Amino acid sequence: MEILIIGAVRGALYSLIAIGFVLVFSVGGILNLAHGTYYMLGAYLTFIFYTMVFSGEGTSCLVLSAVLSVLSVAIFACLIYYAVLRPHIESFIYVMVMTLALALFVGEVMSLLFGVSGTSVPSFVEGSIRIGGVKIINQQLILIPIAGLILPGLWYFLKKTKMGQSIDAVAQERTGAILMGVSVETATIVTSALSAGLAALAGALIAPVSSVVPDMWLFPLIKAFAIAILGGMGSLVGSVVASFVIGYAEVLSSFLISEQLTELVALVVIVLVLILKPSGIMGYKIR
Amino acid sequence: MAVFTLLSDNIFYIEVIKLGIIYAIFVMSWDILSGYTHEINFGFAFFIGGAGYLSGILNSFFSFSPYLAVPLAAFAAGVSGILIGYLTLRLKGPYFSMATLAFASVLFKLSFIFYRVTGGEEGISGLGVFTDSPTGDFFVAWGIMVAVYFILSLYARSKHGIILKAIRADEDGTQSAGINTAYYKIEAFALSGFMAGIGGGVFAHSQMHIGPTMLSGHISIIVVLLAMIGGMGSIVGPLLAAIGLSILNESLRVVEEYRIVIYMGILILLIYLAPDGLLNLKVIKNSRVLSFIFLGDRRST
Amino acid sequence: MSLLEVVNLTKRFGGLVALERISFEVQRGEILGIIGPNGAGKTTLFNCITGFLQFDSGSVILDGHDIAHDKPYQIVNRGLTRTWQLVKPFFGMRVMEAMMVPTYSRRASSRGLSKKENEQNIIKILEDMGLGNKIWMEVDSLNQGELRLLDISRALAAYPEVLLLDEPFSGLSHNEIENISNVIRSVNTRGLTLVIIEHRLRELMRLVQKVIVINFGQKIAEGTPQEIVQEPKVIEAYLGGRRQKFGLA
Repeated sequence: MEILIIGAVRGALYSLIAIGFVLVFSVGGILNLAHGTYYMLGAYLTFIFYTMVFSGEGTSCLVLSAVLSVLSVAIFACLIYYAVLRPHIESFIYVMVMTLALALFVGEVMSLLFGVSGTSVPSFVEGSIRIGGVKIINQQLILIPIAGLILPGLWYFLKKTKMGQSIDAVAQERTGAILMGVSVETATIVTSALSAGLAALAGALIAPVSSVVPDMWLFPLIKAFAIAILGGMGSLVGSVVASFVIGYAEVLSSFLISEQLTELVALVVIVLVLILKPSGIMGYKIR
Repeated sequence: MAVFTLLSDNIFYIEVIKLGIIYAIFVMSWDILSGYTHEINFGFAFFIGGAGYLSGILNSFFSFSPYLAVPLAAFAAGVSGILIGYLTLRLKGPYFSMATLAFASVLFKLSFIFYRVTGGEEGISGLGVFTDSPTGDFFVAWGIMVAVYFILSLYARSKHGIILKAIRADEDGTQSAGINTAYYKIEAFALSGFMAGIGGGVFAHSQMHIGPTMLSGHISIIVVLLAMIGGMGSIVGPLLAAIGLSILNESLRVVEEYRIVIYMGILILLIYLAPDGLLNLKVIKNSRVLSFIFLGDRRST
Repeated sequence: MSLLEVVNLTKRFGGLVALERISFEVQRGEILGIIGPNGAGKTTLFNCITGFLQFDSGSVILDGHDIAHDKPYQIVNRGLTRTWQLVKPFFGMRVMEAMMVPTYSRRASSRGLSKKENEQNIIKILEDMGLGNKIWMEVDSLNQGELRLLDISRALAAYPEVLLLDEPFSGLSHNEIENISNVIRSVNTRGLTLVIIEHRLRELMRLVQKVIVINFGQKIAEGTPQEIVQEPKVIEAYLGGRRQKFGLA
């Protein structure tokens, strides 16, 4: 039972992170290796806003800090796109190297500001409840309904709203979308902001119960990539499913084999999928 | 440069340049594969740290002399190069890069899981040195770097390098010219791994210590950045960039706290300004003389 | 025994049958033409023969060897080379460098030629193709027509016994076509067997001794150029039923 719930929590967390990663790749053709950094900044900025702006007073301030943090990260993502990526966006080598370098850079900055040992953020919702005889921390639990709200919300956005539909169009058939008058530029920026915001949200929510350290950007990035290739680089539904698959796989391996192997799960997935099916599982379009 | 160090008996300079030389070995080894095929290896820490640790383990647990441990570790790195090269044969672009990153991350994690052997966070200390003096060690590193430079340059200018460039341009086209592309890709991977392993081993024994930084994404990405700044696919570009920028890095020690951040910031800025590398700047390409010296370009007729 | 034999070659892409039981033979020294409307499967046929595509059934026999499971480079080393419908140039290198690549193949290197001799051979090929003045230029600076010539030169540099040309005249001027036709005739005289896919029928018919026609993945006709242009099925395939004579110069 515990496995069921913890796995779901993990899956929910990962889906928030991975879906943005996949979106940005489908829409902008950008493999954003700084995606994990958005997640990390979500956590750190929540801490920064909470302690420095609001001087650590109360849950509502905490929530506000989280919101501000998400917005800041979204803006940051737009800045990155504009200033750094756009000038040389045709070369995906440049994009990959630059975003990875930036990720490392921001990590080092965090290390400078906060030290290596990590900082702590208070919980949004205190305490824990018992489900089926197992104690679950509330802070973790809320990820499930939040993901449950956001993912369908995202789906609605993409399918029903004008902006969302243009993003969807670009993701599916870029040239066609351009010919129809869709602004790829706008779509890419909106998608970048959205994807960064989602990752930041995930970071902000998990911050109270997870270690907030300067190198917390790397493994979520690797996992996002693992999820992307497992679920298909262009498929959002696939990513969500894959997120839960990996989430459960991690929890299961931690219970059945060893705690330390959880981190390796995603890596093994990447290696196996790429070796066995180099073209990816659901197929995609390379630009 | 060797003359300079003979004249200066300031240990600091010797150590700084030695470090630059070792980084040059890393970066040149990276370039011979990724610079020529344009498949970006993001997991170079695998060879550098892997060989470093292996050499350290052979030295501290089995009392192998560094002169024996380093080549053995490098050999192991070369063999893993064959393996990884084979596994990533059909991968292109981002998939290749992420796969290499994944391999290096696995090794990174393993070094913590097997902390009893690898010393976990602490790494392994008290490794043996090559000679009894810093100057001696410097010349060992220098000699090795020069050897690596010549071997890799010759390789790059030989049919191997030309075939790698052809593969980069069009692998199908290369196959249709009768070339076993898989063989040449794996061979380059093995060479790249072996040389990096040499570098990693030399690093471990010259610092007398090997730690998880050498297995981290940090060193992998720095190697990539240095090579790109120098100019991929030229061997000499990465060499110069590595030495020059490492010296810069060390000279930033005056602001030790901010050093890493500033250094990385400079690297990022340089890539932004010269994405093809400094060696490929118009300035050099347009001059016949400079082009010949740096790029080995001959333009007859 | 024929030099190249294709027997009942069948290739499916999912539910679509791209090639259905294609069979033909090419004799040593022959020039065979393959024609057919767009999308008929001609390039797919080349891809299957040269090892770039796995096919579902049938066999391809080169000089007595079954090459169905050989990798593309192995087939080249057995003496069969090809050019590409969409050229595949080695951008980022100089023409001479690019042409050295085929000389590194096992087939070429087993001739034991020195680097100088290889270079001279390459220069000869390039001059014959009309690229003599481009030898030290960057491949990136060549125009489409020149790239096509380079493609063909590359295929010739591996000392083939059989050369498959995929639309060699496409994108070329009249002079260039004349030039290539002469090269084709000259290498054929020296013993090279050729199979040519082409759409420019007038120029093709002047070169070939035999033609096969493919439509919708099937061979619908085989014969001399004169026979083929009169064949009703062929005319129908191209024009959909209307009768018209193709001029033969």
